Amino acid sequence: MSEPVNIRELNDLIASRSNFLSMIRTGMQRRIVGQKHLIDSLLIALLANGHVLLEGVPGLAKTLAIKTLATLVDAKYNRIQFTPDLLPADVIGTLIYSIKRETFEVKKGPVFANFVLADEINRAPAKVQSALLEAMQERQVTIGEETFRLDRPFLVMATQNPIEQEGTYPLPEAQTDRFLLKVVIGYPTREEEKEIIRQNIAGAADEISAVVSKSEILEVQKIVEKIYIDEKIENYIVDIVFATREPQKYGLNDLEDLIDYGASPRASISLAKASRAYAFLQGRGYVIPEDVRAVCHDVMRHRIGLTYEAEANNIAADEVITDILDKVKVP
Amino acid sequence: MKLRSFIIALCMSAMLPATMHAGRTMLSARLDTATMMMGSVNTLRLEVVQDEGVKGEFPLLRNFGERGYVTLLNDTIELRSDIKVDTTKVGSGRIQIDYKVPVQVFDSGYYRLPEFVYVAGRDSVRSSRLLLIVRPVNVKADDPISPLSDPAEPENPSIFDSLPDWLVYYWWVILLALLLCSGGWWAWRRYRKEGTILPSRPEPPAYDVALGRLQRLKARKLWESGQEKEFYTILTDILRDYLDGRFGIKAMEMTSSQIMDTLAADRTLRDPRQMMRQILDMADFVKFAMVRPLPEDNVKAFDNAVAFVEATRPVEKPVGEDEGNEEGAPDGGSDAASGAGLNTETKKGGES
Repeated sequence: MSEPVNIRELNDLIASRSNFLSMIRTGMQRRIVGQKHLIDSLLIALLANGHVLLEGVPGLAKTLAIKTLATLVDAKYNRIQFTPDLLPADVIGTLIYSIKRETFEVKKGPVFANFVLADEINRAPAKVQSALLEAMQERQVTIGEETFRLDRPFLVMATQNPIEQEGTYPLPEAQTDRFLLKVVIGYPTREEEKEIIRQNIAGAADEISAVVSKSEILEVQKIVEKIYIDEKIENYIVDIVFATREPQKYGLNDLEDLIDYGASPRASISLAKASRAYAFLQGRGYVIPEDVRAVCHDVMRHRIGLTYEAEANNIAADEVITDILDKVKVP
Repeated sequence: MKLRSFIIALCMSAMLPATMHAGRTMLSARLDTATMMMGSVNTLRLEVVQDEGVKGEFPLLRNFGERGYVTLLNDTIELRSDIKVDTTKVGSGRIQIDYKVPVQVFDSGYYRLPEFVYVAGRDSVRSSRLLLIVRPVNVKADDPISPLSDPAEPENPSIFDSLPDWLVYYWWVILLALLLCSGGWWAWRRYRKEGTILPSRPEPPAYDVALGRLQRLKARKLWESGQEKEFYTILTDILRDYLDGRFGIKAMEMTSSQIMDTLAADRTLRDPRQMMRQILDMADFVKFAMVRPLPEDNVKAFDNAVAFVEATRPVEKPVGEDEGNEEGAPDGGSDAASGAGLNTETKKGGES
């Protein structure tokens, strides 16, 4: 049985330990114009100890965002450009024979970092994707006969380009399920675009430095795990997830033909974890329905399978989720 | 004296034949024609004169069986069952019964029909014997053999003759199916339009419902017995239902901030909105953060809930108020509810 939570103490603790959030936001906004949702999503994934799948056209500062985050957190960052000829060993590492020592030595791959950018993850074959996704899930890598734990915090941000689908290997549903969030980012606004031009033609970007250490992030992750979720919120989460599986029971008969398969129990877990992280961002030691709704689209959109009929009618998962949120009773 | 006895005896002897004639049953038989073609139909007429009220019958014609005819003279003559009987009164308590019996013979020759016996009560009479000549059909050996003719058309066809037999026999099934389909179609139309098949009763005004539920909540003394969470859950549900019934705001599916944002759309609801904010903020603390509020907070939340409902109570328009008056009405008015753009029209009937 979990120990009782003192919400007042937790709120005070959060208030005292969340100062770095504003510094991270400020630091990221010095490098990235707009994309507030992307920044918040990265923070949610970092605090909830999850991973992010990012979908957006090229040039929207996806790489810059995670690189900046890594700098601000004082953590190791690696980027893996996924290509069709990539091998699992190129991601997780391999054994190399040393002639000098006459023995096999471990050569760790780029996955051994705190922040990993898996750029265009759908361009590599399934076995490479699986190697990375296993590392994401297990947080450890086995090379030869030796198992290595990955350093913490460990955040993978994988990107997908939604427009160039030729020659790609779409991620199977079972593997996209392992990403805590799938964030879809769009183009900047007109004003943001002008600001981007000004920043880039002005010359060298502002130097940024680390504002928080890895150990502090790990401590904050433990605080996030203590954030209180009432049974009413648990019921709300379960209702949302069940509405994707049995829409007719929630008066969503129209969705019956649009949903091929509903969200898995991992969606419920992810929704609870992401809601906690969002509550932390709001400086709260407890989760309210607003937190669940705020992260619901990012958590659920890659966990609902749509039917051919839905695709033919150009109905996206986001619309289905919105319908569900508009119909499920809020506690 | 002798003369008197003689006269009486003479009268009695005169009456005796009449009495005897009154009880006698008479039967006569004749054929319409004594000569007929084989296969054609002749009519045997049997004429019975008997006392009224006496039961009588021809034993021969008692049982036609499934074949529908009886035969005479070793099955050569057939008397068919479609007999017509006609009874007429002939006076003096007597009746005459005419039997018309169709007769068919399929073999040519000379026939002497047997006597027909009629039994009336305990009496029986016999007819005379009739002679019948049946002539054969003239067929020449070299005549061609004609094919069987098609079934003959009815002489005076009606519209029913053109209908298939199943339709004639089972028209009521089709009528019943049509009635059921019509009823189903009507019910479906009504369900699509009204949301229900049965006529719905007008719903009570949201204002009355909310106040009634609030009073029942107060009577349950939930927070007084340590059930603050239950108290605030029911309190917010009542207000959310009220917002739905009163303004058409789907508050049951909205978070607290969404409700506040929706209410903020109307500036005339500024004061009631503050009451709602206090309730929702406190409710969120209690429901989701395990906060145990002070008794004053509970009282204040309940009072604010009642005040919110009262403040947004629909204003009944005076009878005869024309549209010009509505257009001239100020936004806010003295009553917060009266000017609220959201609440001048009620969502459900019975509140205006």
